[in-house]
Amino acid sequence: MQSVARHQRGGVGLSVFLPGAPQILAGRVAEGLLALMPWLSAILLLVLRADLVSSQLGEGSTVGRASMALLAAAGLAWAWSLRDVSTPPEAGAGQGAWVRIVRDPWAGIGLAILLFFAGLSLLGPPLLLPEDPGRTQTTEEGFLPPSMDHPMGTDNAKSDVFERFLDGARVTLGIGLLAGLGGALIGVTLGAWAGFTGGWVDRVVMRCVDFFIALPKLVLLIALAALYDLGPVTLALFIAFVQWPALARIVRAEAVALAQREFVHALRAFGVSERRILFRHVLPNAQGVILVGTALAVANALLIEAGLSFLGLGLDSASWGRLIKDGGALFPHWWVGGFAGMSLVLVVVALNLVADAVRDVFDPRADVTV
Amino acid sequence: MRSPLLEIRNLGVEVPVPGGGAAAAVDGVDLSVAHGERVGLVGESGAGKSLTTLALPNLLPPGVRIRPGSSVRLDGRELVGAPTRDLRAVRGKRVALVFQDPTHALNPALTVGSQIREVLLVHRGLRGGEARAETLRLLSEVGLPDPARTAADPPHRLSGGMRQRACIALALAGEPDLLVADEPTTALDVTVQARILDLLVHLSEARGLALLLVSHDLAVVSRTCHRVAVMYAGRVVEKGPVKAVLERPLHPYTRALLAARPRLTGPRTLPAPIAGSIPAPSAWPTGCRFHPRCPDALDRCRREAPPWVGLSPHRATCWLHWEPGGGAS
Repeated sequence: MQSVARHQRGGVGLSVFLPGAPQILAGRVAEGLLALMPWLSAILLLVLRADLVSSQLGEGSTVGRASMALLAAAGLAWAWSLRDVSTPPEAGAGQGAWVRIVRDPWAGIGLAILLFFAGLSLLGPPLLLPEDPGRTQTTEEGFLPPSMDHPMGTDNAKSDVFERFLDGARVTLGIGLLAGLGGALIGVTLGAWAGFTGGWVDRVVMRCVDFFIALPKLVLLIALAALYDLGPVTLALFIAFVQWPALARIVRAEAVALAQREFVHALRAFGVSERRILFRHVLPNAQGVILVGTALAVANALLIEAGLSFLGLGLDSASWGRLIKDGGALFPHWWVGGFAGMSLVLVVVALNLVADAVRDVFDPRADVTV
Repeated sequence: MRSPLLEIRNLGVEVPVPGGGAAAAVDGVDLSVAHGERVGLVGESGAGKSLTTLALPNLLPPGVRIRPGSSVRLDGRELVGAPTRDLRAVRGKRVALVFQDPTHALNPALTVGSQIREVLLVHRGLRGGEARAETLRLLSEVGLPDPARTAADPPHRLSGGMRQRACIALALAGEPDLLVADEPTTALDVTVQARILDLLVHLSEARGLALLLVSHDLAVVSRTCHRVAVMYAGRVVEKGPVKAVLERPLHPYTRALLAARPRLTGPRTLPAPIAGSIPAPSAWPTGCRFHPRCPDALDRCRREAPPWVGLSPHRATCWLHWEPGGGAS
């Protein structure tokens, strides 16, 4: 008991300066990192760009809004960490599924990586790039290695790779998210409907799924990309379109199993309509499968986008895939494509880590029934 | 006299037989339940008890269907052949079911309270604070000690007995007139069983709720019900007031069921098992369906279906009690 109290007193002091650090020390990596990151970024921002922030803070400009958001996030993290350290842990409190996911160390690291890149792509461009709105800064020389002026060097067209990296983060992550969620939405709806309803609905939907799964995805996308003028949104929709069948199949299997469960029968006996049973009762029971499928669909969408860009069929505008392509043969100019490639790998790995933890938490075999 | 709440006439339920065709697993059941009356339906596994109850609001599994010519009337309204929309308004609202295994009858992903509120919304249009208050009232009505906490718990936090109480609260949420309980205590501890049965009797008396209790256990029925119907091989073979049937059983099957119960009082005799088992619906014997297992079977029992005998309301279908030209009617 005493050691807990002492640890907490020390924790309070630590969390005033480094919110999140006590949580990391206590093994709750994810929560700690999630608090520590905005805090450190805010401090860095204030130290490095104090002039910019102070001149823009009250203004309605992008920079002003972005700095406000970052400072607010840092303040929130600080308050949360302090409060968390000073309240004693509830003994024997039941842990919900979400808490268990966040407390899983590997999922925690994954979530922290995802949050880092989300923050970077949203807040990075206004805060870290020169304020000139019509950017695309041309440098004096191409293929400069990373330096203080150009943290990621410059490319063959003499533009700053870091700038392209940040712009590309928005595009790539946005496409991944939109394509993954879009594919999941279609797949989950159709799969759950088919599996739960059964009969001819099931047969028709699943034959469509078979048809689309049988088509070679990349070839289909290449054809679509060659036929249509690609904007980021169209590209995301195309990727979603090739992804939904896989999700539909997984969710259908789950829905078929759930439709046989006795509680579904009981709900019918209480006069609950089929649609209500499907959306309010069957889908929540399939949330593990749905979440895992969605996370992996996002990861997959990121890779597809990069692959298309690498083949020269992706977007003309900035994206990580485009950077990797421009990197060409990696050496000797490894910095052109290297940072984008590494980041892509990190995000995909992070998504897989989170998906893994979600699967563990919702795994029916791990379910403890009293 | 007021017409009965539930009147089942000549109910037949056909199940698919392996290799094609269909067999009547329930074959010509007549049964009625008056307002506020508690009726027990007793028989071995495979007698057709559960199919009979599921047929009431037509909740039969796919492939199983009600035979043409059957009639199920609720307050005089025919339910057989009624459109699904009408049946849905009956399910939970007029007739509610309590299932055998409360562990599987509740959605594991939602709290108990939200499941009750759903029925309140569907059948009574209650939402928000009204629904929450009614949920707590229902949970305390079924004897749960801490309704607020139970409402916020997912089903797996509750014990078996508490879960069955929650299921009963769920069944009461639509304010039904008839509660159909299919072996509601079979999955529970013996000590909990008695309390759940007492709760059902109490609710029936307090609310004027009719109860159709399905059980394989005559003891369960004798402590709860007014009347009992004994089923064998898809047919009702004996029915009457509980006391009369238990004390002076007419049908050899009812006698055998009574003899098969372990006794704690009286002479120390081992329970007598009934030899053999109920045949499958596709292989039901001719004549009296119980004759292959009946110790007193006559020649006639093998050939002809027995008539109803005995003085109303306690009657049975058996040749043994048949007197030519008298008694039976």
